[in-house]
Amino acid sequence: MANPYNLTINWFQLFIERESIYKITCSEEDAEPDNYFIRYEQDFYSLEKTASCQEVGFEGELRKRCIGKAFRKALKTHGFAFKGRFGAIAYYPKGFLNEKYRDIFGSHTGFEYRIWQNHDGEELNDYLILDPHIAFIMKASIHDLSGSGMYGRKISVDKLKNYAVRVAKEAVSEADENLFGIDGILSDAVANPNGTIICDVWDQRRNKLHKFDSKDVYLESRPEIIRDVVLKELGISFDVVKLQQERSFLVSKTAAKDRLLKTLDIVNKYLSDTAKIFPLDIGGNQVRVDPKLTTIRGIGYPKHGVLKESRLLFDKVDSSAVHLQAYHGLKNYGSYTKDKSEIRIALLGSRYGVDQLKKITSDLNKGSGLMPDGMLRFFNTKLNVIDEEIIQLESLEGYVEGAKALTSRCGSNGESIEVAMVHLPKGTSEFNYNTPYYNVKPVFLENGITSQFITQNTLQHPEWSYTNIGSAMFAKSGAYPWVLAEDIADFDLIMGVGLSQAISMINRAGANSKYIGFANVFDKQGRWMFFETTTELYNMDDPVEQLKNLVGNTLDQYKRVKGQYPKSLALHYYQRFSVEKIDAVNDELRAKLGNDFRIAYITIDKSHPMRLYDINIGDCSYPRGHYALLSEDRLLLSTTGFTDLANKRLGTPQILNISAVQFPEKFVDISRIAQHVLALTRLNYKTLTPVVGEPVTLLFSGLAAKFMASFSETQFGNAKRMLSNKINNAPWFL
Amino acid sequence: MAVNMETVINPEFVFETQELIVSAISQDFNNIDVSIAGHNSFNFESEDPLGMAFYIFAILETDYTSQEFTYKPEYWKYWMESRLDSDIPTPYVDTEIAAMGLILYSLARKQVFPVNSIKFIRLVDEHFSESSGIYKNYITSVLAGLGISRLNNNESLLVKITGYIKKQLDERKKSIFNDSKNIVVTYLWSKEIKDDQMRSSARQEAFERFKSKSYLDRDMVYLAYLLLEEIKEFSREERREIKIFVIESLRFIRNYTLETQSLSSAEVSEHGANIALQNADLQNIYGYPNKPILSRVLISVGLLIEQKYVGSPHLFDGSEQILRKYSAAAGYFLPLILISFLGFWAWQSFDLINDFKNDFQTKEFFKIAIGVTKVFFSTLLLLIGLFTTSLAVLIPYYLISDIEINHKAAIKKSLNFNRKAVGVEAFLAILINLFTSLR
Repeated sequence: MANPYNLTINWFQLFIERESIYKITCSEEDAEPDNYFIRYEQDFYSLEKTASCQEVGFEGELRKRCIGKAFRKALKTHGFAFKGRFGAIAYYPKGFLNEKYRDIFGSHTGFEYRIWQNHDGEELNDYLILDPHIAFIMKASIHDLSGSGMYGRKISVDKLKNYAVRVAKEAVSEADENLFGIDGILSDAVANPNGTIICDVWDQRRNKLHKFDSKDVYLESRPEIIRDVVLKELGISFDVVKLQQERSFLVSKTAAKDRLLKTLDIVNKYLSDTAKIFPLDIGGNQVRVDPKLTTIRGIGYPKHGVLKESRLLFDKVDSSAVHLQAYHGLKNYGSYTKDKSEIRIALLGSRYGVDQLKKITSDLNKGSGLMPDGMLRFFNTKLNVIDEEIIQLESLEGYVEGAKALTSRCGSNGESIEVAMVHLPKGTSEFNYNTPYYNVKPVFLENGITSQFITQNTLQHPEWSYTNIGSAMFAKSGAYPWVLAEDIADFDLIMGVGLSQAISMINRAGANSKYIGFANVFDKQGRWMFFETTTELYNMDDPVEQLKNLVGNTLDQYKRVKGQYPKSLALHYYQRFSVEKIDAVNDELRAKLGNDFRIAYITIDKSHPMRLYDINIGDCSYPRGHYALLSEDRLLLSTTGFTDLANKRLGTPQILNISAVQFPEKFVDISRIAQHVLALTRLNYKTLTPVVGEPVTLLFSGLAAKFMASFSETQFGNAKRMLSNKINNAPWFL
Repeated sequence: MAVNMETVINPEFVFETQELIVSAISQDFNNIDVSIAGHNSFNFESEDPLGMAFYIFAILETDYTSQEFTYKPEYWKYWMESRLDSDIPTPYVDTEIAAMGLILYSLARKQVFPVNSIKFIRLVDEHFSESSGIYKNYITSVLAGLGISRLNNNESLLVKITGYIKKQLDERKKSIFNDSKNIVVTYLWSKEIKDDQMRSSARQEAFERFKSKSYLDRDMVYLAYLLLEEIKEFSREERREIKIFVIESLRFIRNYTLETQSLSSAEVSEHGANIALQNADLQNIYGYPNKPILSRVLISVGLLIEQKYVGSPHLFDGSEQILRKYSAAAGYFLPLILISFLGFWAWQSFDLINDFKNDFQTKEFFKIAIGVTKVFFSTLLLLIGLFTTSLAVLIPYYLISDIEINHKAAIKKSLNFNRKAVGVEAFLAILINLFTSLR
């Protein structure tokens, strides 16, 4: 049990003595006064008293924004640049971490920060949240890479298509400022006779196509893209991903501790001692920073709490067949579904690949040291190979044709394929959809078949993957490897929502994309029930309408399965639910259920810079299942820190920022919602490791989203038909 | 599967297994809250009603009584009545129906108290569908059927349940029997409705799996139960093989109970070879094997096997084994009874007691001393006769009844018996001498 006084959060309290600020009174003609410090809610504010002003309290959101602006200004003065959607990542562009290839990309030390306000139980305090960050910046434009070329080579523009790009600030009008970020996609590039290349950049948010000079267009600066797309095509062997992992503490065994020390270094040694940014000057008043991290205590906020780890159930009938760990539970009791005597599979790959698949299938049936007695003992089943297709060429076309050949034979011999096993010679980049991995799955799915891909890399150490492959295949055949032993009593239905997913850019005709909303639906026991989508594809991105339609469809499907509408719902989403979305969903619920319903809109965000540490733990990781309550409706939950369940940790534990809006009134405590979220991290059938960071509600939606992006419109239509009847109980996206 | 007959048929092994099972069940009972609103009852809702129902079934079927069990039939009756009277919907209705069905069946079979509940029939009828049973759950549907079959006014529902079970077995037998528990409940159902074909099918399934060794350790207990129940249907040779299988399943139960009940989590991690993993990498990734939790269904069936095994050892013998056993018994009985006969013959022939009477009447010291010596020898001859008679009975008994199959152990046990009874035998010999002398 951790001592609450050893628990800390990367918040540095800020102290300011200023009590007032001056609101400038503007005449209608004088739209923007000269000497204002900040604009807030249509009003202008000055730090100094002027002729026409009104003294107002320096408090709340206004105070927070003023501190933020002053801090950003001070950083800029010291040579910092900013990136990220809200410019919340500050980096030092003059200092490079990579010694070579600085004309192609730069990697820079920096940090992500927020100015944050939180009530500690007595008063509202200001905090600086700071987390070390390595910033990668693409220096070479599309023109440099494809037009003039670099290091004696040119990269064909075709190889760069469909990747995310950013457009130089100078080239973008104010209306299209989203393209600074990563919302642009390079959909085409055409060389002019004068030698210039014009890029077609598709603005995903507005579903608009723009044309830019290739000198102003840069590939998204992700380490994987720099390594696998740019450097590799230029004939340069340099592992940018490894550089990132080393510098981001990912490979360290004490990653959290290293990150904690670095955080303290940045605040105390750099920002305070070296750069002297703190004390921060705001109009003659100083903002001091507390050199210590904020502690998480037993009273006030942030407040410490601990959740119980959920047990897993491995028998539908025998309620005593429970265990804390999936691996040991399966080994002792077998799977939850016990009437799946065989899984009919088909193999696809080259001759060598199919031979490898046969071997792994045989090994899975026979068992191994890590998986004694194989599929029979762990899942009460066996794999039965009923068909195979050898492809001559391991190309995208070869795989797609092979998949079509297999599906055309499906059922002709009286036995239908349940899961197709596909051998791939190499792994697939998650940023490149133009690969067999993303294109073969839809072919199978539109014919009602789920698929399992095995890469050659997996086959190098197959034994470690056996249980995971077995579990995923078992789930894809429509069976449950395990479920939660204790019910999520507060909700009848839990939806993991995905909205505004554009379907394939590769397979569609024309420039306009079509959007889809979808959800993975779980019942009380955390059993994945079905995958639901919006009724149709949307021509324009309208997340409110998508969500409303999606919830309506889900309620109807739930009724078809369970015989009645749910009375209590939880919606999990990685973004905040806007008032418009909440109103739209409530209207939909009222239309179907009357006023007899309760709903919790739960936001689970992991893309924030807040970190929790326990300095009593060797690696300073915040224990799994421990949380920091920030307010009545928000908490931070650690899901991958220290745990008795297993030792393995990778990088600094991710912290989930969970908040909830409930209707018609608050009916579940936020700590109970966190308990549900923690329980739902235990149901990832892709892996038997007990430490999974994300709840399956969001994890599964993320996986489904990747495949949605590779569906053609026709494939979506066919797959939806299949989903609604043939494989609606199989998590095909695993 | 190598079985060491010298050790496994040690009665201490069976007794220890029984003690472990009983201790496990009683500990489990003690962990459950037994007080609800002033009534003594088990807190089913927060526990495992079906697991508890299997305990009841096993206890009633075996007639096993133990002070360790806090078992009282009225607890179960109260729970069922309160659930049937309650209007509060429960998400566990399928489990509760299965538990009630099994408890009704168990109680009715033993006529512990009369059960006639129209409410249970209504409840099952409400949740039963002819195409999918009770929520597509085969075992729940069968257990509900077992309960319904013991109630009055059940005809139409029973017909529907019977039809559902038959259809499931006709269409999905392979899937259904993939879970060994389903074979057991199908067997119980076949006996209940006296369907010999279904019973034979369940028996055949269990036997084929046993013969082909296509079973897991955890399935062994269920298969062994069915084979043991049906032991008379198998040939002498098959019985011998089944006996080994039953012993192995008892061994599994014993180890399993030890792991779940006796060892702490740390001890299991360190010493429990069956479940602990030596591979540090594996522990890092998949976690440390916590103490597994007792499966109530498994342990209940374990009690059924253990009690049946103890109660009917003769059922297992093959013809060769019987011949060997009786030959050995005869080999001991005949010489021992001959020695016994010789002892009695000598005692009768020498008539030492009468000699003693004559010698005593001479009132001569020397002759009286000789007479006393004759009495001692007379008693000794009688004692030998009694002693060898006892051995001639006991050794064959131990061998034939399977209490001991090891000859040395049977002799040792018989000698031990006689050593303890030597005082009684001597007293008896003296009494006979005295009686003879007074004639």
